[in-house]
Amino acid sequence: MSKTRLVQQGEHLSGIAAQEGFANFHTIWDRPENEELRSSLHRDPHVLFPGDSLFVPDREDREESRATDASHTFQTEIRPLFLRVKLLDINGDPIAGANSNVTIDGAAAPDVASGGDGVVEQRIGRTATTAELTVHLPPADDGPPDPTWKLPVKIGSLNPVTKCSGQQARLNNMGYFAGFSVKDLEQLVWAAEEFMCDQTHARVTARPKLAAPPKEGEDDPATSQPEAETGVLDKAIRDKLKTAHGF
Amino acid sequence: MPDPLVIIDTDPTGIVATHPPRVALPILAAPVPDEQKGKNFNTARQHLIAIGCMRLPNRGFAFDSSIISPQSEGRFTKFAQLMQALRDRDEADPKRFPPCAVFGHADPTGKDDYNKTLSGRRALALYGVLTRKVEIWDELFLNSFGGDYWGTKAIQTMLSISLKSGEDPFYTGPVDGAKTSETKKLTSDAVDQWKQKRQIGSGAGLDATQRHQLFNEYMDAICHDAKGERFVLEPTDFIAKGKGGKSLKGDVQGCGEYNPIFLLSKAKEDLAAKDETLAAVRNDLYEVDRRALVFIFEHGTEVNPKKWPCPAAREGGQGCKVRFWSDADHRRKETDDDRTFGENMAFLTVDENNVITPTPIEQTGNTMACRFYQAFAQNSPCEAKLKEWVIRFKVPTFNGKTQVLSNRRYVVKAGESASSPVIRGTTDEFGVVRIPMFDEQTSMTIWLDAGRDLTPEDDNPPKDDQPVDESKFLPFVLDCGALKPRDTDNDLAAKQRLYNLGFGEHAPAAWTDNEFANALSQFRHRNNLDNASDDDVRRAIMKQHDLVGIPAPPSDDDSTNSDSSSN
Repeated sequence: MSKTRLVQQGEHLSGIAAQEGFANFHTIWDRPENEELRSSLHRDPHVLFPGDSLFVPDREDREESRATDASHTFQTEIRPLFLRVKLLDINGDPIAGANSNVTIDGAAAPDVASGGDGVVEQRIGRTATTAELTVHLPPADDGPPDPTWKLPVKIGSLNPVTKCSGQQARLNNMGYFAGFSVKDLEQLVWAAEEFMCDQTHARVTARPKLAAPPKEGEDDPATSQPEAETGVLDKAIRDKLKTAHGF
Repeated sequence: MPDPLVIIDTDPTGIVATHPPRVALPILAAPVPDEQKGKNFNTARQHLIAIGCMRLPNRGFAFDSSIISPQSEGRFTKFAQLMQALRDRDEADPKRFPPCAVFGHADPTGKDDYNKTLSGRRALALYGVLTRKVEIWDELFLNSFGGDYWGTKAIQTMLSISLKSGEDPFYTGPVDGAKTSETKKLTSDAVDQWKQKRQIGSGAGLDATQRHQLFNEYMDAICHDAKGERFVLEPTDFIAKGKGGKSLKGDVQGCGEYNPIFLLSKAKEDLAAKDETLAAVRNDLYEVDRRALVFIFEHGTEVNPKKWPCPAAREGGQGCKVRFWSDADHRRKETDDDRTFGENMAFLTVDENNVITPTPIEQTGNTMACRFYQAFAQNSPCEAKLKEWVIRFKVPTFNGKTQVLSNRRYVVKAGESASSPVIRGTTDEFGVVRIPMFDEQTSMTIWLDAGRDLTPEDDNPPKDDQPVDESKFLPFVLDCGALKPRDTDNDLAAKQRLYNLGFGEHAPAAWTDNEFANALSQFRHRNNLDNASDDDVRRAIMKQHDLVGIPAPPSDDDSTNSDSSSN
């Protein structure tokens, strides 16, 4: 039976599709009932927001006719999902060719190496929620032979860039400390200005315009106001943030 | 991983401290379906995190000068201790010092460009002593800049301390730059005696080799570790590893007057501009802005000097301005009140309807123009006065009065977790302990050496080498952040203070009306307030309990010091 589902913090469409028994997240995402989410709220299917209202259609049974007393192969079209993280050093330069040990939800996954652009890529299950990368950095002249950088990752927890929490997450990920909670708007101002200065190589001449998130915080679907834009309102900053972060 | 190292060591000659630890944040990521692999990714960048600092000196450099005073010796020793402790925690083999960066500052008096150069000279002087780069000091010595003239004054300064163990100072006159014939002769004699003693000639002059030797001896005399061994850093112990070449970009920089930690009001500045005496007072008040800092960064941090935002110490301030806050001019503005960095910093308030009301930035304690620098400074005990818990210990004495527990050893566990900071110290002469605030609400335990005899002759500070048995210290558990605000109409606020002052037998939140009435009655009686009104009694409780400002001199009678201090 079709239903409307309120997105919770940490959920993304591939995970929701898996929970609802769909092989392809497009079966949900492309429904006309989800047009508002796709267009007016500018969501990415993997960057949703707590409280987003998602239409989940009925599952449709499919019948296939095959001969008995024979073996038949059925292939589903589950879309593969990846964790892709671009690794940058303290100077903002890509960390290329670094080998990383990976665990997904606590289980060891094959090692991966970053490419020339610093990106490491690991295929993950659709319901994976956490990962940890242990990046083996190139040794410094005077440093330990195998310096490592441990990166705990929360998969599916990136909120839209139109939200304070989404901006803070991107800025924090990119090395600009933007605060621990959405109440810390002053630290967000610091991080947004610092980020823009690095992006434009010029002095930032106007303080970012702000809108406060709900006092209870943004991660409660009951109070999250999915349509409201919060945090930094300047489109130029948000666009650069999205481009630089990669989502 | 070892417990966090916590050191905050302050005295009039400067500060050496660790920064509050920064909680590591997870990467919040979006997964990428195969069809978006070509365009989407998440980014993870290493953070630049300062873990400690030294401010030198607290009282500042002399006005318009970059000469490092011999009073800095104690700070260098503490800095060496901190660096050695941090080195011991390095995971590399051999262990390394964590990388440093030096920042010089000037006060807001004078022109930006002048102060940029002056602050760069202060930073270079500090870098010079830490690395024993005598050629940097020679450059400062030979190239005076405005009023920053080393010359004879620097030589007098260096010869006025004991340069080697057991050796008397060679110069005993005033450090005046040899302005009088008397001090000129004293200086000439001192130089001559020093040279003869070192068997490197005689006479009043110093050639380059002799100057270098004197600089080296002076540097060794003021910059050593706790054992007296010379404390020296290599250029590779700095954040850009000396890869900025002669400019030392990344390793050493001057912030000019862009980042003051104290600004006078406009009215006071205007008065000082018209009156020489008041200008001298202003210069004294601005001593706190004349400073140089070393920030210490996490092990393994290395920055590319080409990408480091600060211009080098010898460069102008244009590069600084790129990094200024968008409202930097307002931040640096003189306003109706004096302003101190670290106090009253909040500039955005949000009401229950989520409406943001900004406070004009110039009405807050945001005095720094450089956004990049503020990131280190705002969490640094060397730049921002951190909030503190202030606790005064008193005991009742046989005559019914109370006595402060001054000069008592204490141990504080500032938090509830196994890794909470542990701080050891001695109560001051007012019986006060000051503990930096790590959490606004926490439980702390203070063990105090309260058991010693309370006779005045026993109240001398214990000697450092005197062993103490901390297991005999009395524990006090503090429910920090639970105290209700000062409000005479609030019963719980009064009960809590009565309990802290020694009235009542169990947690005040659970007091019955009778217990509250009994405690009030005892307080009245002990403070000769039997006939006072209820309001007056409650006011007296608040006054006696809450420390406000600087503690008043100790007294054996509470009624005389009750308008001082804390909780």
